Amino acid sequence: MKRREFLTRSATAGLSLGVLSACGGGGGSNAGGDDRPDRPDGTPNAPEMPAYDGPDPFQHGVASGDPLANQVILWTRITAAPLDEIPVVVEVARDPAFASPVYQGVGYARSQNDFTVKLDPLLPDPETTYFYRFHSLGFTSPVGRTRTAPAPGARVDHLRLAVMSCSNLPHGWFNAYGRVARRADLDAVLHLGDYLYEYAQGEYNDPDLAALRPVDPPHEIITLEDYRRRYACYRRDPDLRECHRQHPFICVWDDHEIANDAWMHGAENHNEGEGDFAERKRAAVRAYYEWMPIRMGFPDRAMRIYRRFDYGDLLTLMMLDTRLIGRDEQVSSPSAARDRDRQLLGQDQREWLFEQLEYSRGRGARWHLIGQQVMLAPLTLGTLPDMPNWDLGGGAQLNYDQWDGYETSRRALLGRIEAMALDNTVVLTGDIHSSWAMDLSSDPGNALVYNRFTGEGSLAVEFVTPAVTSPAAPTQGLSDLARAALVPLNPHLKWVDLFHRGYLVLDLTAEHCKADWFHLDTVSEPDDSEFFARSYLTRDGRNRVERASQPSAPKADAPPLAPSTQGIKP
Amino acid sequence: MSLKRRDFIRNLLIGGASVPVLSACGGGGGGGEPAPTPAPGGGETGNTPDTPDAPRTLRFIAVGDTGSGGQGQYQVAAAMEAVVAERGCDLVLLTGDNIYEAGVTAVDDPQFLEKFEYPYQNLDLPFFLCLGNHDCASTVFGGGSDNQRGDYQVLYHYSRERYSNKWHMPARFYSQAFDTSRDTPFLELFVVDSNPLTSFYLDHNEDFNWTHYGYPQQTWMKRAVNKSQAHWKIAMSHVPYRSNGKHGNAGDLDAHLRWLFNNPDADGLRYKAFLEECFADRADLLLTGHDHSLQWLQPARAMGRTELIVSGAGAKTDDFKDATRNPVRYQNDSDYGFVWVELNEDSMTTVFYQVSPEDGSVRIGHQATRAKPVTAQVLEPA
Repeated sequence: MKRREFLTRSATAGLSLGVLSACGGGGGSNAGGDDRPDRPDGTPNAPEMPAYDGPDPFQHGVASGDPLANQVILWTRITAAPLDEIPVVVEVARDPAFASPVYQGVGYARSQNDFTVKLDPLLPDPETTYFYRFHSLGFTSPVGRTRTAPAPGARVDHLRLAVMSCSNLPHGWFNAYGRVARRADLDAVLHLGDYLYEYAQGEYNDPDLAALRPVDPPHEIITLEDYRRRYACYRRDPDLRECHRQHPFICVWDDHEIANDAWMHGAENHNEGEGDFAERKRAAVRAYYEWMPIRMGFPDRAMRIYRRFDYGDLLTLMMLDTRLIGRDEQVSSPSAARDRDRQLLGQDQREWLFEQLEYSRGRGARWHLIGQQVMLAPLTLGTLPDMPNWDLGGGAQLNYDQWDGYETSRRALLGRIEAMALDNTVVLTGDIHSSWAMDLSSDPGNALVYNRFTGEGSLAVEFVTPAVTSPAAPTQGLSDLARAALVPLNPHLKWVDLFHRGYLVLDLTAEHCKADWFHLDTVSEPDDSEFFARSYLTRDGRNRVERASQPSAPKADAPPLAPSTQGIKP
Repeated sequence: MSLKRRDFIRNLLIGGASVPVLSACGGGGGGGEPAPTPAPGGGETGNTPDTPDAPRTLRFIAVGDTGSGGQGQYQVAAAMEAVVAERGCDLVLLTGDNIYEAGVTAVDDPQFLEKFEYPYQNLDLPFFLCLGNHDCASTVFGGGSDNQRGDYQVLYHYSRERYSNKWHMPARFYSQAFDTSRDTPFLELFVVDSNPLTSFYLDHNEDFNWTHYGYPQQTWMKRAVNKSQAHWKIAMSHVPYRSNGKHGNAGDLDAHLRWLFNNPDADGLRYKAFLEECFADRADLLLTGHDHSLQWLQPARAMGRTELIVSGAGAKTDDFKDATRNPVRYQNDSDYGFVWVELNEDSMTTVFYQVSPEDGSVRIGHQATRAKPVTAQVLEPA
């Protein structure tokens, strides 16, 4: 396994050592030197473009993701039926005018990949903002902007990440994506899943928006073709496209990229009439790789998306899959939730995660960030002391789809952090359409283990990002009521907002890891406004949240945004 | 060339002169303990330079939960003497609970004599021991809440006044290489101190909690195993990874008694991960005791190809709690007993001996020769 991982990595890295590294294999040689890729005639290495007289083939924008120190995935899609095997030339430069190019390469849009094109170019400098664009069939794509990660050993003073989740297109306008697109100082956007939803038209939406924001295909998505069409539908949204255009994304799937409450071998929203779940899962995963700017690190194990990013000495980011790779089926009772044979991560991912924690500490990273889907902290109607020897305690859980339903897995993770005496672990969560700030204790209901007033006994912290559009509490009043009830009943819970949509910005320095929540006034109509909702931080070595009064200041030297392009909302 | 054929030619060339050997003991103790004194090794010959490629062999007995000082222990000791005389043996592995019921409280505690030296008086072999819950207990219940007590068993290893030189426990957890006459040792033994990780009752001495002891031990052990060049790697611990006896499987230890315990780690959840992360598919064999029976379990998925043996019938027997909890190759809960193992270059012969509590009579419960479970990861250049 170790050795295979190494081989796979070398092979993956090897691909990008050449100037050309086209997704989906194959591909000819690159266009190099001073050749203008959009005028291939006369340049022997440039690809030959097929004849084409249709409209602009760049219908779904551009995207980038999975930044490493010298690599980043670049993505686009060509819409030019009935052509196939369409050459696409990419240019990368240090400036939006492409006066100082650093890379040129060719990819091919093929029907077998739904005409999506992914390249993984080798770029000269870490921690650098680059601009890129694609040329094909006589057209040029909008200019994208991306950023490489700092070198793993580099000293890094300041990082800023937007954290997002749960964007159901028929539930509202993607105002949150639009706002994040305009933040020039972000290093990356983390998307914690539920990037799209599988439901049929009218099944899970804001009825007032049904006509304005229809989904395609109109039925529940089950086949590969369905999933592809749903991604294509979402990627026509201008706010989402703009957000991808401005920032590299680091994504993991949650359940709705496949079907509601998915687990290893099934899902709540999957029945026999919809065919074999394994087949549906394969289709969903394939479309995910085609359409999302994610690097396939393990070509023989496409199902594996848990992976690590090193951001200098400031941050190690571990992205998990709590959905497909190892999750046992959900249960519905507290005793079943304590079943010691059930797992959320699966053995391989759990061991991998524990190794990464040790690795991260060993390399001297200040913050150990775990990006994942479902809430790790308990959510109960009264948190009680945990008594593993009685197989009792914890309190009355409300949601067995989150870590509450996998008591042993949570105890193993928190127990490891405790055993390691590991400082500065921060868990980021999506899935639940609401904003939360929490301490993570192995036994938050036990006053001997955890002090709710001082945070003494907390091992780590958890920040939960709200939805882009998907709803939780229907009104502010109900949200306030729920908060008034939940905070006293859950000693580790410091703040919750169940009403607002939005996102959070994570600000990392050597002194703190700080979450600033930004909420939206509305998603019922296109709207540019947002407001600062709350801020919580954890200081170096403290492992507990405390409230901050102000959001962090933006970076002073933020690189310019990519210039706006025709057809893309500025 | 296949190993078998190479062995055949070697045997032809050297006339089968493969004397079972235990030539040298090098190794390190865990937790910053001083390096162990070289073990004398019990009068073996060692590989001589003129037979550099002779196939190596090593034989040992694994027995556990022995330290009662009672008739059972003496009956098993007598059976061991007979087997050593018949089949040969280079060393003995003792899987813990060396001194019942509550360990020793001094390096000159007479129990060292009553429960170890006298019973094994006629076995002139080095014993390598690991600590059990009773070695670290303050009551007859074996609650394991007094880990400090285990230190006396380490000190006995270094004592100049000890009765014999058989007792080897250079540290609470340690590794020990055997037959180091060539570039790579033939066997390396990795000994775990499982009691602080799984005790029934909390030890209020913070030096033995997971942060100060459990995880550092795990880190040390994982590195030791990973850097070991030994041909055979055997792990020994007291608490089983899997067992059909009353203590059950790590992760759910003592499911029926646990409500009495106050250590939140008494179910062995973190201990289970410890064993998997250190030994799965790395050690050929994990030897444990704790349950007073003999069990050779089928390999467990999470432990890869590592073979699992429980040998805890060295003085006592206990009925299985659930004889079908885990699939087994062999198991017995009615007799005392031990297992004799012969390691060859590419195979392992295992003989389980059952000793009748009625009359001390000895019979073979099970024997088998199997291919070496875990093949070397690093291939020698051709």
